[in-house]
Amino acid sequence: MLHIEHLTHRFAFTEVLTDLSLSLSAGETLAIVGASGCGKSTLLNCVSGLIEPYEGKIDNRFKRMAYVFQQPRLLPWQSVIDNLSFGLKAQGIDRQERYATAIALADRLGLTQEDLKKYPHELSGGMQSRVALGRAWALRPDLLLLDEPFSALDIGLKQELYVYLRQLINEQSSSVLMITHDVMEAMQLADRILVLSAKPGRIMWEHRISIPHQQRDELWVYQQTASFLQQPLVRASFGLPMQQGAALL
Amino acid sequence: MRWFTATLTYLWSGWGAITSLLLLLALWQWGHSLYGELVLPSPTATFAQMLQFYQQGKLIESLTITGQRALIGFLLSMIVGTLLGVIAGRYITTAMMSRPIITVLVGTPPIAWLVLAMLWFGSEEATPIFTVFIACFPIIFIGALQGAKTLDGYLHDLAHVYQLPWSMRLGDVYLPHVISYLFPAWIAALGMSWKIVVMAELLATSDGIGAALAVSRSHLDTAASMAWISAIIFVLLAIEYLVLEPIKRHVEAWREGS
Amino acid sequence: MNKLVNWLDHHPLGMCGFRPFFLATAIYAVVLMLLWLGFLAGLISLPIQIQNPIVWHMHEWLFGLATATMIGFLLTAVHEFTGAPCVNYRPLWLLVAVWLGARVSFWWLDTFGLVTSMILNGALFVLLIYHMLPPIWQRSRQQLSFIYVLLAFALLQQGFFVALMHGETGMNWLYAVIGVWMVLIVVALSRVSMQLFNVILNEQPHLETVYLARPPRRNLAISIISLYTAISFFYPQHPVAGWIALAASAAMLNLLNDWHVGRALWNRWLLMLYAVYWFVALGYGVLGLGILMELAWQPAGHHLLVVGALSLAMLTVMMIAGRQHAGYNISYAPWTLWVVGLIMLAVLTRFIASAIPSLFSQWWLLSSALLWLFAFVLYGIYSWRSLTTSRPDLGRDCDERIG
Repeated sequence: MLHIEHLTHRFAFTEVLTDLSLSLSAGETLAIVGASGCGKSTLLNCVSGLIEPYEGKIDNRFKRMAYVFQQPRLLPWQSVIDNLSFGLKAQGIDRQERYATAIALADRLGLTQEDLKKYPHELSGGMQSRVALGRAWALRPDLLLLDEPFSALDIGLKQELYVYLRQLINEQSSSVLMITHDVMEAMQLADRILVLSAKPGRIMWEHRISIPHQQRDELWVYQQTASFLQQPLVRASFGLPMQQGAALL
Repeated sequence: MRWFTATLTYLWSGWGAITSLLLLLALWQWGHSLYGELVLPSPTATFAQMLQFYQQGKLIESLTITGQRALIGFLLSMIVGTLLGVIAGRYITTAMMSRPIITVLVGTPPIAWLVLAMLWFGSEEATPIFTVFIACFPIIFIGALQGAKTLDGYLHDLAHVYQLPWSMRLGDVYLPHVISYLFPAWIAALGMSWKIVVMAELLATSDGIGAALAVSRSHLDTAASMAWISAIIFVLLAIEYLVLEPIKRHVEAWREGS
Repeated sequence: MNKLVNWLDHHPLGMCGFRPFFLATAIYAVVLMLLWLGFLAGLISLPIQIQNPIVWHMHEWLFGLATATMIGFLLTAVHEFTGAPCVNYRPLWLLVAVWLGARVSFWWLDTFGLVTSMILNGALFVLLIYHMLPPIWQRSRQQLSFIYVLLAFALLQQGFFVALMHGETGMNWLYAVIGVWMVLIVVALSRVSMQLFNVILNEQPHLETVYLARPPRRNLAISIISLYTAISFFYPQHPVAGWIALAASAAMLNLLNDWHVGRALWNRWLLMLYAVYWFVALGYGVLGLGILMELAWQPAGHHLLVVGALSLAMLTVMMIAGRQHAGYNISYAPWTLWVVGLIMLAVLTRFIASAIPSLFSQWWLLSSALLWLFAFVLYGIYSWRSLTTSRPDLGRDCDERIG
């Protein structure tokens, strides 16, 4: 469904992605993890078409893509309901239907009727993130691109949004390409994890998770993350010291 | 009904402003009792004079003439300044190049423009209109330029990723953003236009409030002068609180802290 | 004698400050108005040391009648704001005695002399401050404004007596007292209204209204009223004072912004307090216009302030606080509306009597006096029980209703 072959990208003379190949099948959630500045966002921007890759081929067969940015990036001059249904308007869906979808979504995401009338600046950070997620979700995408949308939230809010996200993904069996620097987040949400090395980004490690999402409890996530981080190649990608089990301080 | 109560609430909040203005009148009255009728006529005498002008029909006539000049100058400035500003803001080269020119335009005193306008156009309609135009232009131009300059970045990405059609890019994303910069500039320029036009009329024309002010000054008629000045200020206050402020509130409801 | 001491130490009337003083207000309103009507009818003569009879009328109205309500309110409010023990029984009876002495000394000014009356009247404020200052200073300094107002009253009254001793009418001192009263109304009603709004909003949880008596607008109104009071004291009828009076009027209307909260306002008690603010605004408006247009509107303006704003404020406060702190719920009985209706009519007729000089002025005046008097009589009759009998609830002394 999405095939990337030998993708290389450079900004001026700096190579950020080198010879990267991956594929994403329908209904799969693929997480790409890596240290900051490893070219994760660039990869996502190439897939979404925001930037033209320097070399390589991207074969994207998904029909409806939606993108959730790192910041909520809501339109400050539109109310929450207009922000939620913003993508639908672009598809030429009439106002009544748009609003009905938005109202239903708001309910799913724990936003009240009052919230719908508010402007983004009247919402808390967590609510803004929910609206941003809702805006992407309103499109019923078959491919959802997530650019660390949860990184600025506290742990309680993150967990809450993970739940919403998983529910929505399961309902529509969408494919997700998410990038994150948080390994635990990837462990919890993804079916497959790719580790990207820094400068320039290349794929160092692949990890499949076969346990269904419902069975992944906190303890499981902690343990999996710990053993995942023991892999020498993973440690290298994140710039962790090589001695296994070294004291953290 | 909701609109009605909101309007009423807004109008009622005007009592705060009226309180301050009445205190100002008290201060004026005090000045009058210190310096006498010749230097500073009392507020009541001034308002009586104004009422007389109104009954003679002079007040409305002058206000209409002056108002038209200010408005035409402002509208020209709004159209030209907005267009040029947006175009200049879209390209880094033009934005860079226009900065020093704007500094010159802002720095030139309006009275200097007036002198030039009188040399170019003589005592015609064009003189006050041009002066207003050129005084408002840099304000609007800068607003438009800033708005257009800051368009790139996330708004562009958003528009692209959500595959917005052109109409939506313009109507939902780019225009609101640019207008959020333009609107304060327009308002500042409109306030400016009213003051500039009176100054221009004072020196360059034979009608309008500025001209009337010049006549009353030449007759050493302080009461009449104060009456004209008060009329100017009344219009200014009315425009500010009855027109601009409500529009501002409506348009900028989404802004933080508004 | 023992019986009297026992009565004084135990009768419910001495339980809390508002009880004897609110009752005294109702009784004195009748006495005062009858004395005044008696004088106007030529049946009674006033002390010869008073050159202008209106001065006598104003002094007793402001320092006799209104002050009684104020003492009752403050003694109760201080307990509520600071949690200090109530001033009741013996110290309270002393206050009542001094108040009564001050009244008697002023009625028979020629017998007692100006000095005696001045000392007795001054002693009332000294005693009051003596009871109020320590708890406020120690526990709740944001209530200090009440002390400033009391000091202003005391000083103006002393000034008034000194003016009488110098053979002046003393009228300008009493006009200044009206100004201080208006300040006190704004200060005190902001507290009362805040509480009342919350009580009423609690009863109607479906109204999502928030009421806050925010200080900025109130401070503006207070400063401008004070400014007007000061300037018209030194330069009566000066046009500068005229503009400031109009500014005070506008500042009061501006204060109403806090009150426009929608449906929650449609409660008779809130509307009464709301009407008080309106009367203050109207009064200063009439005073200001009168000065600027050189019309003799001063009496009309002053009566809007005193008969309108002050009487209504007094009665409203007495009807609200007098019940809540006696252990009853706020009453929605029809008589409360009658009281307000009578006052409204009294203001209207009094305004007509001053503002529209005609052959009938005297009759308008008489109607106004009687309407006003009946309002207080009605209050006295219907409040007799709550003021003079023990509490029906679990609360003690000055507590708000409990249970």
